[in-house]
Amino acid sequence: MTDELIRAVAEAVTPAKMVTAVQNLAATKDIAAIPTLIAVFGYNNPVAAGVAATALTEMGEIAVPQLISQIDDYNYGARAYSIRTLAAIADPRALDLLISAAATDFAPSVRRAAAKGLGNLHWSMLDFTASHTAPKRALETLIFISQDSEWSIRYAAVVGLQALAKNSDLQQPIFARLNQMLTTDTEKAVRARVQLAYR
Amino acid sequence: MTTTNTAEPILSPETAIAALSSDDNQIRYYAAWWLGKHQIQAGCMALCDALFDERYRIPGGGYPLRRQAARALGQLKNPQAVPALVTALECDEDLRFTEAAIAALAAIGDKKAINPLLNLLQSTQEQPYEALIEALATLQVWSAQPQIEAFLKHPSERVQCAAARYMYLLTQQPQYIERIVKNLYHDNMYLRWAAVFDLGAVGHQQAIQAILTAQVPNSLKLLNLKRILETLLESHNYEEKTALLIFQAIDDLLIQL
Repeated sequence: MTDELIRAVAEAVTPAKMVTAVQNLAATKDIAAIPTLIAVFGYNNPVAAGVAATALTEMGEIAVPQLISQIDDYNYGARAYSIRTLAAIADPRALDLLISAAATDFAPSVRRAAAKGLGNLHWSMLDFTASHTAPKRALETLIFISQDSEWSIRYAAVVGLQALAKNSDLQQPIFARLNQMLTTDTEKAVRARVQLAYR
Repeated sequence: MTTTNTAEPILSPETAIAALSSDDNQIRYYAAWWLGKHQIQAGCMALCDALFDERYRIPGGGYPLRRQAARALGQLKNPQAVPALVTALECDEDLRFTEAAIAALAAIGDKKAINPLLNLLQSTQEQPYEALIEALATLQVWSAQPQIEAFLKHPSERVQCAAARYMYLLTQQPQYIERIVKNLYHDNMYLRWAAVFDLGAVGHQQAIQAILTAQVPNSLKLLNLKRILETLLESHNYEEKTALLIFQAIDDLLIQL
């Protein structure tokens, strides 16, 4: 059954047929569909890619190893969808990818998704040592990009920092940085978001 | 290096201001853009002079440097530029230049621009009405209501939308938001974009929902939700419920590509 649906994706000849085929395959929630759904990111069909991303996000951590290993270093659009999906799933195995995306990607939309994702990773999935060191690395990155020149990146950093403050040992540096932003940030909208993070 | 170009590269306010009087029109155009982009207040008077440039013309009759200087002055938001921009409105040879001057006056927000703008509205000559109506709304010139209401039936949908935005800001009646929302679903991508910017000036829950469902790039949604948020934060009747709705909408959009 899944094999047929996978073949339908490969054989779709129009953008509309591609969307339908991906929707049908996504509906199975079958693990065997994961590689094909990831491949759809590279087909330059934003609607189909969106359907595939939603399906993979719903499958969650089971899709993470393949999302990481199948990342397409040569197709920027495909890469962006992989990072966005990993950010949404929030599995801490994606930490390194999200750190580099948040800090260095050239597309603001990818940086925003990674920044939000960095705050929300499920740290308890890590072993004892890693569950203490990993959030600190997320913190460093978020503090770094909270000084970006683009308001939406700083806004995303605030959202990430607010979520990360659930780690009680990180609260002190997080609130120190938010406090600083409250007095120095040039954008009213960002300062207002900082105030919301305090509640 | 065999280049004969002796001009210094534009890397500082001083070099940019000097480049405005370069021999090369492309360099002058870039210098005007650079001064606006970096909001170099020291460039204000030099940019005002460039509003009356005669040297750079294109075959259709337009004045590219004048247009760019006007846009840059809008970014500087320096009230000292208002008299020059008002004088510039008298140039009736290049509608796109007039449009840029009007938008700059709106961005600066000085009340001295009101009467000259109203004069343009009375003029029998064709005007860039979309920019003009938007400027009158920004400057809250509500005395123009009778004339602007008539523009709701203008042949250009963008002008109609600008009039609808003016009428909404004045009356707060949702029927005017609905007129703008209609364009959010237009086949023409540019009309959809213009509609999102019109809604970005209108802080209303209906406008927020409409922006979220619009077929426009994410970056435009974020920018206009932020504009609504700013308007709300500055307003006298700040509604926390609406602010929380916008924060939630922006937070959700962050994860979208």
